[in-house]
Amino acid sequence: MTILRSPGDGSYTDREAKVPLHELPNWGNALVVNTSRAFQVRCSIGDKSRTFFRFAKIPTIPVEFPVPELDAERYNMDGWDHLAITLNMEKDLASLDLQGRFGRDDNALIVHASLVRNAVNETKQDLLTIEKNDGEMPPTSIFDLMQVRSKSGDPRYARFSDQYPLLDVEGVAAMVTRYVKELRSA
Amino acid sequence: MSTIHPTQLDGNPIQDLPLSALLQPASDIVKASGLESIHQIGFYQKNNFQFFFEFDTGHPTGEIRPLFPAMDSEELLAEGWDHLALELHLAVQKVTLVIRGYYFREPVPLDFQMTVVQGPAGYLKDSIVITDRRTQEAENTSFKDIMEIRLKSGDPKYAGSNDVYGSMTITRMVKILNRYLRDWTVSHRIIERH
Repeated sequence: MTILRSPGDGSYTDREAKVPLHELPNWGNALVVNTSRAFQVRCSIGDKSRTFFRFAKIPTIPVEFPVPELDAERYNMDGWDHLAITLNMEKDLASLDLQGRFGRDDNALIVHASLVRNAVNETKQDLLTIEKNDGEMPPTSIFDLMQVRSKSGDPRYARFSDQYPLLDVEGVAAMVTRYVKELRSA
Repeated sequence: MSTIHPTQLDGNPIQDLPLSALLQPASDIVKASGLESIHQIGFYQKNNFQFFFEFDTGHPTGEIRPLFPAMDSEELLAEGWDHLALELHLAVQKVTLVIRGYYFREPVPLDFQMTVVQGPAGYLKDSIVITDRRTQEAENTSFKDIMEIRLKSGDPKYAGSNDVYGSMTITRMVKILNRYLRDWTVSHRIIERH
């Protein structure tokens, strides 16, 4: 497993590279075919963190799918009041939807990110919207976040080894967390 | 390496197995998944069936095999269920069956919840709570109590003569519950004033 090094400011831990979003259909397609419908995987982080698979019918094959490895405790400590990360798996298409409330006071941010990729790694959607108590900020994207750099030239929200075409669920969640954390403290 | 019983886990939803027969496969499934426990939930509602796997913290490091009774959705809803969640919680040497839902037969709306926990030596828990939505009064009973209700003739009222407590299939248990709930709504038509 590749270790993705974090920028050297000490505020973020290194992370292993997981399955890129566009490779998830390799795991999900058999289940989509078996159940004749899309299925969802949801990791919810909050008072009680849980992970769900949702199917339109009972699968008749074993479920082998790389569930996002999210450290619920860490995300809670980072400041998420609640966070739901949902993967909608269709045939040859993976849609990542991240929705949550960052902060536990009146100034909490309502965060929504969406990244959709097909099996040949075409990005069908990449959107990040944040609502503050005084209105919605102009929408941005995960791609834009990855371009932001610190004065030193280091990526500000991404890790050194993060590559846009190879982004995984854990990487997107980590990047968005870092971004909203900075927004809150600004 | 855990072993999975081939006849019960061939990838098809189980049909007619008692909870006691699920104990070993449940242990195998949980061990193979790398999790401590797995909840399987079938949610039945008109034109809407959904099946869930649910687990707390952690992520599976192996495959998860479905081990869930295939129930006829239309049959269930025709009995009076508005919606029904059938849950099987799998853990090592423990299987928990939870049935909960909203049942309505004019004029009685009720919330139903049953929990039966199967351990290696038999049921560890057997409880039923029926709440009349009109009064919010809850009535406690158990599946054992329901099976022991008899007619004047001495025959069991809701169970069949061949039914044995502790070794019945889930679908059979649901059938007995349906009979009981039908009678329950008849006997609770009139709200008693205290």
